[in-house]
Amino acid sequence: MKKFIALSLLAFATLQALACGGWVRPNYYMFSVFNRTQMENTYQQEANKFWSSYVGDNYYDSMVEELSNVDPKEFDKSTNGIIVAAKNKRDTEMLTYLRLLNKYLNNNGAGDTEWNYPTKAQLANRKMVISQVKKQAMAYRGSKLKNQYALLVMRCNMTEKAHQANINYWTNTASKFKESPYKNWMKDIYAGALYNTGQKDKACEIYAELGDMTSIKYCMRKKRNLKGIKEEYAANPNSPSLTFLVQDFVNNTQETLDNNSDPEIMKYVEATGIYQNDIDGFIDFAGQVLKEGKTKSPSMWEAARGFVNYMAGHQDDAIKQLTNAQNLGGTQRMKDNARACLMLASIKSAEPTDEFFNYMLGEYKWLDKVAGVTETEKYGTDPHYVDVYERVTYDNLVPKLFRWGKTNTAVAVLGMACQHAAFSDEYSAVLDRNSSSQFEEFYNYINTKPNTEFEKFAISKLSIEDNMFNDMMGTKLLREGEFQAAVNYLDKVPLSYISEQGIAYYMARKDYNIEPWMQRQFMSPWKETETQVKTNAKLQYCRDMLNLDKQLANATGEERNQLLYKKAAMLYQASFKGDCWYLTHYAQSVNDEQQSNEFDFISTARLLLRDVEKNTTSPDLSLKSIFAQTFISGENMGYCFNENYDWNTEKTTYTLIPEGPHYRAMTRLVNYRNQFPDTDAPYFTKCGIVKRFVALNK
Amino acid sequence: MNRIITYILLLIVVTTVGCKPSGESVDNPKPAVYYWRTTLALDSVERQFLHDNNVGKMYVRYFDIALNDKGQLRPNATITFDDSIPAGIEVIPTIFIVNNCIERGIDTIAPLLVQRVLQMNETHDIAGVKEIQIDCDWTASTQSAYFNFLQIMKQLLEEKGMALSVTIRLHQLAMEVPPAQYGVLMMYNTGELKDSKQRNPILDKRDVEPYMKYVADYQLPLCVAYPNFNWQLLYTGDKFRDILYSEDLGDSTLYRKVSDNKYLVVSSIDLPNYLSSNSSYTYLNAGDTVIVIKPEAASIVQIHDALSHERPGINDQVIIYSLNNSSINNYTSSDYEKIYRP
Repeated sequence: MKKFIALSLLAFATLQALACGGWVRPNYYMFSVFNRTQMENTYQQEANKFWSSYVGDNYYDSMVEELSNVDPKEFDKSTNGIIVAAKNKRDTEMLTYLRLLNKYLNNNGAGDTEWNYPTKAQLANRKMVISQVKKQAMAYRGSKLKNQYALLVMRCNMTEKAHQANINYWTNTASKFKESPYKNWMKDIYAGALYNTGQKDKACEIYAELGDMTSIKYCMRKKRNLKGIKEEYAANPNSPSLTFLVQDFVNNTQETLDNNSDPEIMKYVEATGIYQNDIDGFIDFAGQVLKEGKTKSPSMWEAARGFVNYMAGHQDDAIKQLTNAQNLGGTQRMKDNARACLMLASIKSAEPTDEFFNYMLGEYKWLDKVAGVTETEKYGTDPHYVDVYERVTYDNLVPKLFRWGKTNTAVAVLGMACQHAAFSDEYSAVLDRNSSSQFEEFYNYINTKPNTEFEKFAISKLSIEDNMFNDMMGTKLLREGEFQAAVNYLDKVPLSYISEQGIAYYMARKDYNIEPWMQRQFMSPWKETETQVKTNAKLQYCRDMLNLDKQLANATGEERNQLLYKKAAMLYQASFKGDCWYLTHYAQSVNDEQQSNEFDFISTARLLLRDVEKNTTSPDLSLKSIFAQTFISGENMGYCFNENYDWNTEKTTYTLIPEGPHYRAMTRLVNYRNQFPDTDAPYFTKCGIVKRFVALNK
Repeated sequence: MNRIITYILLLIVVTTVGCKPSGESVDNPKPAVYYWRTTLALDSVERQFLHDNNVGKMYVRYFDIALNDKGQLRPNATITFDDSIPAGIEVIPTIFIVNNCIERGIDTIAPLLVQRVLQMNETHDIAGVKEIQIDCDWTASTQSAYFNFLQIMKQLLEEKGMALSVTIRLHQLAMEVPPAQYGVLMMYNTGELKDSKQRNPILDKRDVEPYMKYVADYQLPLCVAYPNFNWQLLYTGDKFRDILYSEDLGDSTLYRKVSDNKYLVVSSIDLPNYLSSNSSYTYLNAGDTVIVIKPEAASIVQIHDALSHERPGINDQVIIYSLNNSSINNYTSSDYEKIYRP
């Protein structure tokens, strides 16, 4: 029974972490038959790769961009890395090309966002220079830089808005070159020329073929619907634009269906009905395309209808079609896409069987490869499979594992996912929120033999080293108010380990003995620096607290009241609201709140202060206790006034909130003070909030 | 020291404008238009409009001033001159300054701005330029820095025998008067887009009325700019989503007309986002509605007459925003005649 409760708590903590991470996970699209990097300037990146290998270790990406900053007159003295590399290699052919490229970059008008506007003569000169650069580029007869020079010709034509010249140059010359990134770049410019001379459909075809998503998105803006897909297919069943349009349709379907959970968007019920027709229509149409057999990409069409069926809730059809899609014709990316979609769809109807976990093991190993080896030739720098990894893991498998009661496996999968995803915080958040017993159980789980190969695989990616275990266990026990137990763990943590943590900066500078209501210890997180701590304040805190409790056990009267007051201050300091939050937490945020498995430091401090207030005979200690309670009330339940800043007058106005708890606390404080006006209490007389309260009450 | 300079400059501003009689109209008034595109190229409809309405002045947006990705103040979206201005029309280069630039110490760019405008005139043979106009949605928090900047601009231009004019938004009527030779009272974008089902956000009498009391005594010569454009507003249910940019609502594959100014999106589509500064897209989902709004001509004329009543001479010069083929046909020749009349 104990185990069951612990696991349930962990599940609760985990789900809460997933839902309240401070921002919502993007709605990653699963269906991707285009390379994601095609959304960006692919050709520039490919060119950068060339320069990178040419320059060597000293290369950095902005080096290419900086070529445009080199004054052509100062070219020979330039320290630009590319120019220097060419000089060092005595590569005169390259230097001639770079001179020309530099002239082009300085005269193509791209710098017109600067304050100096060109004169008429400068504009004419620019025109002349561009014309000369083009002439010289066309005159190149070598072979080494043939692509670069040809590209330069086309760039000059583009600057001159000589679109027809670019069409001719491509048709007669550049189109005959061997395949290369430069050739694709030129083809893209050619497509632009077509677009600018009214041949929009032809331009769109090329953009789609090249995967220039930015351009094709613009070109295809009127066809991004089922009707457009049908028209495009009727015109050419193998139109490259269809790859874009089909992917776009599936992704839009995902967006629409996923957003239906949003009450704001649910308002458009009218739209859902119409959109559902499109979904059904698309499934039928994809079936028709496959039946006709005219397409060379049946894998894409089959996967598209499979994934749309999955989203529409037709699970059996989805599984069948996504499985089938992997064996049909199409690019490798299309087949990989079907595989990733099938992995996601399979989780929906899965049962916790060996067969399922073995399937997941195989797919995760594959996903590890495609998501992890983003730098390989095969996958380029495409982060799509990292997103797939995240969606499959966080939004599907992990919640499923929790539902099945496989809590430790779920947490292990979260940990395993950290290696790929940007959401590594979720694993840390779960571990951080765990109670000491939950954490210890998970620690034992990953250090013992798990049941399945899949679990072994997940656990093989994780480790919790001794220092981390002792530190986290000690901190958790401290957070739970188990000071003696905490000492047993914290005692084993070396200072060097603490000093590596972000909290070291605060630990070395914030003193938990200071009463927080008398003196705040604000420190800017922006000034965080590496700090070597001299003592483990967590350990010292636990020991001090144990000593204090010993003293309290024997104390009576005013001595007891003084000790209780001290204990209240120490308790508050260790809370998530206290200045010494580092005692119980590894980070602090305005969103922090009391957790169910934490000792309630704040409420306990308040109870102690009330106890002191009731029992002390000292007006001074009594006032301090009331003052402290008022402080805690304001800090935790909101202050007794609203603050309004008027942007027009730039003035702040304050209005009292008489119904609030802080107002009542302040009233009690001020009334008490009025009974003992002679008490020396500078903290009271100098307190800005007290002053404002008194002024507003006048 | 800086503060002292600020006070001195403000004092000069107050003193200078304080001497002007109220209700003054602008010098040398002529029917005018704003030209607010990034390429200067006039088609036959636009040229005919200029001719038919005897337009004598064109307030041409030369460039914006915005922060670049390094946080520097730089010209942005500079106009390209692919055409010439019809003979006899005076050009007033107009510069739009994004409000967040002002906090970045805008004083220093005044000479750069003037020099750039003059150079653009020279490069493109735009002769007879006597004035520069600055457009900025300044607020109380940016007023001081903006006025300092205007004061420097004014001084620089006066040295060259040129004038400075500024745009005045309705809410700015209730504030201090900027240092300039005259202001153009913008009678458009007066309402809230989110409230567009209740009031016309382009121009609604109810949004103008609270500011009418400031018009008569506003201590700066004024003329008025009226709108001729429409907006295509996208709604999901009752929720305003975006403005569409000159979308062809006659495309029956995408839209179905359901009433005079209302269209139903019948097929989902993405369009470039008009309101966003980045290159994001607006998703039009089937079932969304597009509502086309424009102020009624009668409403513009009513406000025109009310302004004349409050401040005779204010309509001596009227500027239409803006010269654009797609907007011109929103009103008839007769409407324009009424709007342009003093």
